[in-house]
This record gives sequence, structure tokens and C-alpha cells, in this order.
Amino acid sequence: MKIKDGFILRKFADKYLSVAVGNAADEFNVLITLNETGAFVWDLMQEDVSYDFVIEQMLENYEVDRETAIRDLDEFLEKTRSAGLIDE
Amino acid sequence: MNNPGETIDLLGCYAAAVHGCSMYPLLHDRRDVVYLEKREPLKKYDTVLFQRDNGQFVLHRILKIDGDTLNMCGDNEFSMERIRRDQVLAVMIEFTRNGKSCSCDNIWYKFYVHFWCLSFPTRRILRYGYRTCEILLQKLTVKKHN
Repeated sequence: MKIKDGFILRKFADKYLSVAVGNAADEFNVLITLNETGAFVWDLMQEDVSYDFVIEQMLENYEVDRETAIRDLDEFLEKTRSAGLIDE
Repeated sequence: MNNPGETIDLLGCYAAAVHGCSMYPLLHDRRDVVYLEKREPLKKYDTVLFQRDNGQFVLHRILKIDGDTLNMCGDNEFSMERIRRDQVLAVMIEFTRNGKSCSCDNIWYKFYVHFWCLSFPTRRILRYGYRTCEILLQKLTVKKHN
């Protein structure tokens, strides 16, 4: 799974904002706001990665238990999938 | 979510890819992204997002502040638009240009802004000169064909 091409993620005013540019700007006329973990996952998913890889990275980089990481990632994936932002 | 007015009220900031060429050569259509914040006071030469009375959202530069009236113009435009202060939603603080980010406090950006705005009358004359030449040449071509 991978975030679709054409998005620029940037920290601005203490928020992580992602915006589509180029051809993607026509398809995705949205402003995506992410929290720090969301931005971390978003960054990882610039490459085609597996679900388990993202969970392992979350556990390695944040002080969370596996259950919380799974819940957070599922929530993230549900939102991004429903917005059509992911290539499976 | 992408109603700039609602988003700015909610977050206090906004980001969007540029659409259109009115801020060329600074910002390119769909390539560059602007980052804005709700901020006071407004200053001359600030680039701001405002809403026209017909609902359209526009990103242009303030060329003159006259009380509650602002004279706006895109970097690639030659006619001024007068708007009210209360139409302004947010001020551009940063932008990415061809993938590289730049702050509006950057000295080179400020240099560009001053140069570009001070050269506004000259550019306008050159443009009229160019247009006149185009019209004259068109007439010349039409005559030749006759």
C-alpha cells in the first residue's frame, strides 16, 4: 500500500498539511491535515510498504503498544482509503 | 475539507496548490503551494487570500492600503482591484516553488517583491507598447492580404 503520487506534505503553523499538486491537484482539491503520527505514516507510505512494516516502524519510533498502533493505523487507513488517496 | 473560509476559521491556517497564472512569475499554476495564516495587521505587498463578493477565492498582492480599502493586483496582472479589508481571509507566510520552500521573510523574496512592484508602471507601459505593436502588425498583415 502506498499514498498516491503528487502530494506535498509540510509542517506549517504546528500542523502537518498535505496538498496535491500537478495533475493530482485536479483530482484531489482537498487540504489534508495530519497529526504527528499521521505524518510519520504518510511519510512511510510514500514507498509501497506492507501493513506489518508500518506497524513495526510505529512501535520502534513511538512509545505505543501494538494494540494502539493497530487501532491508529486502521483509523488512518480507513480515512485515507475512503478519500481515495491510497494505491493498494 | 476544502472551503478556505471554513478551514481558516477552524485551523487558523490554510494551504493550497495555486490555480491560475495571475501570480506568475512567482507562483506557477498547479506546481506551487501556498501556506497562509490568519494574521493582522495587513501590510503593503503582502500576498493575501480574499473572497470576491461573487464567492470566488483569489490570491493577489496588496499594492496599496487606503484605510479599509485595499488595492489588489496579481504579479502577472495590470489592472488593480479594490476590495474591502473584511474580504481578506489569510496572509501568505510561506510557499513552495518548484518543490523548494521559501518564507515570505526571505531577503531574496523581499527583493523580488520590491523590484516587481516598483517596476509595475514600467511593465504596464511595455505591455501597452507591445499590444499596440501587435495591433499595428495585425493591421499590416490584413492590408497585405487585401
